[in-house]
Amino acid sequence: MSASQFVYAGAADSGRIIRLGAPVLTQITSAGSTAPLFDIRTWEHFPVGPGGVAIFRVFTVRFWSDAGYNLRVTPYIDGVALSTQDFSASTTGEVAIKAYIAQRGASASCRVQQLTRLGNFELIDIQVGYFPLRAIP
Amino acid sequence: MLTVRSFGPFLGVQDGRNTALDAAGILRHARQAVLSGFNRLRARNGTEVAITLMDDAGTPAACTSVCYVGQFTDYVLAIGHSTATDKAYVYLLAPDLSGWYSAAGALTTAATATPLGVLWTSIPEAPVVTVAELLGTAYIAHNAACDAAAFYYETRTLELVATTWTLANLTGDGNPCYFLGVAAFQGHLLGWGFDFGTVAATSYRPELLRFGAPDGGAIDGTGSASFTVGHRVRSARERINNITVAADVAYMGTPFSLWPLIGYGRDSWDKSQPVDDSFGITGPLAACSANGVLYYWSSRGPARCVQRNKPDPLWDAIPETVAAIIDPQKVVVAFDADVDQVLFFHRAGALTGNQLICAYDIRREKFVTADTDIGIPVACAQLVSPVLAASSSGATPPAGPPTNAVTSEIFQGSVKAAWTNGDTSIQVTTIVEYRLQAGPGAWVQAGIVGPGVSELTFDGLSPSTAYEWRVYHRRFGFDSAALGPSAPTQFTTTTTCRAPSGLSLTSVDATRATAEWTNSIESGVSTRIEVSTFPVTTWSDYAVAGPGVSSYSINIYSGVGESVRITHTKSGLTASSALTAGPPLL
Repeated sequence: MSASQFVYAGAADSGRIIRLGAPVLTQITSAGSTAPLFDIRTWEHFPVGPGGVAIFRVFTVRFWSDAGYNLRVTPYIDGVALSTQDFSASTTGEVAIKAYIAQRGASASCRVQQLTRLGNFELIDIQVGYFPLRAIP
Repeated sequence: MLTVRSFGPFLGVQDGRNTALDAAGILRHARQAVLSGFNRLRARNGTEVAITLMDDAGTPAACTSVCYVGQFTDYVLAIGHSTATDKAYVYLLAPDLSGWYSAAGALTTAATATPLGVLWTSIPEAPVVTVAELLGTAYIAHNAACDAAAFYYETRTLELVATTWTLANLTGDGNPCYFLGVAAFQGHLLGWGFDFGTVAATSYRPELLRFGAPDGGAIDGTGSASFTVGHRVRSARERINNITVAADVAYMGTPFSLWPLIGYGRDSWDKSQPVDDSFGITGPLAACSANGVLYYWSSRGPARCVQRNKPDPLWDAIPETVAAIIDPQKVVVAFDADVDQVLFFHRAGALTGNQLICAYDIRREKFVTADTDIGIPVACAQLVSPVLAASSSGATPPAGPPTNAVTSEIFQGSVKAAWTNGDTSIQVTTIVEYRLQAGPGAWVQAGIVGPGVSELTFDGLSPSTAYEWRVYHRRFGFDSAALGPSAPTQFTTTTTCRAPSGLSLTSVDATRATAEWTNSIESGVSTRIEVSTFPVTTWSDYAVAGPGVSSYSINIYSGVGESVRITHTKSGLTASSALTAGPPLL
């Protein structure tokens, strides 16, 4: 998305003035450039209460992209990271990917990271699917 | 049956929470993200180099630091520093940073910028600079301009004098100024940290604010137009770190207090009631105004203040980020209007520059990110708005300068200048100026012509005098390079008057005719009317027409008056070529 007003930042280590929010897929660094990679992590959901138990089965990450995607999803159950799962495709538009797990616990959270920047990207929602075993509020 | 719970819609970042509490929608961290629409998270756009500032060495090299970038009239003002030359430079850039302007106002489109001038010399470290714009003049102050031991860097001004951008030292009643910072408020210049005098130990006053006369008037170098900010005088505890104007308030921040300045000009200013006696503004660049609200970095973390209300602390959402920040006095704050974010540039861990941004969405009142790595260490930052014209094509400079100068019709008080236009678009005007060759004197505007016009006849000159002229295009406030002064635009006026034109005889009957003509543009000339028979035999004086008269009734008798001759004359000078008309009687 293009911007009509820009923040210009003066570099402290060179004579360069940098335009922030430019419609480009790279970010200027002191050594050259890199891709600005989207990276978020949620706080915990306690769907059955802090003392309850559920079987968590799937994280669904819904997003929009205009040039494909290359993402890593890291599920967390009770604050412990499970194995990461990577997803990539050239599909554009609104996409839903599913990271399947089978883990008992009380809380779930998730980290979503871009591994490469292919185009514009918007995270719409993250959902966790679970079977409640014992609910204790 | 599988049950589903959503983490969205996303409500921003809180980096310190009770982990045993359900916190749907809140994020532990969000890097390279902005809030979009109904709390969707979008990947932040990238960054690109807009322009590189160069020094003034024999072989120019890139500066080693950018100290300031911000809007100034319809331009962008930038300040760079070079450790190779130990100089600080000022640059005047195009509003989209596509080029730079010379002191004469000529635009060069390029990826590198040449300095317009030198601010300070013998300056080994990149300065922290504040700039105030007041009525078309930029005031530039070095944050360490003086201390109790000595005076170092005078406060500078940049303004347009005639058609030349000119750097000068700011003075108060002829005395030099060494302000630690400057701001502009209600038509007054504010300067702090310096009281006039020749002894640094007593002139260094970090808590003192001086202000100039109304309407951009002079700083009073000898009087009492000043007050101390804070509760104490001559105390570094009360040092003014920052003054930022938000809406109708000038907020004055010391390290541990925040004072609003309100009123309707300096004679009514009230600064008696601080809005905060505990937390102030940590550094000279640690505040900005966004939608009339002050956002700043305090000794506890980010905060905001509206009007004279108690400040609103924002740090509770990001305690871990705040605790990790080092050198809070070096925090830089800017407002990114396109994504509704106030950006706090800071550093943490092993970083030696402000390479991280903590972004607060002012519309949704959430932190979007607390620690995004922006890629480079940032010394300064500011929002720059484009300069837009009414036409849909946008504001661009003239396509090219005028060429092919021709000087003709040289008379005692007037001359004709002609050229080939470099841009004939409808938004272009063309300005012609002239001056004495001797001196040379100051440029005088001869006239402004509309689009497509490629000549101008102008007067106001003195006889037998050497002049030169120049011409340039102007489009949306941008000037092209000038054509001239050069040999084709140089001329010496004569001693002959320019002739009138367009003579005709109208309303002719048996006894009278009316002579009508167009006077030349030369002022101070007399118009002589002579008559004869038709065909012409001997000319006889008939009358002298008054100034500005361009028609005269002629009596016709014995055939005399059927021919009429008009000339311009001026004492001591040669009469113009005669203009003759003489149709036969009808």
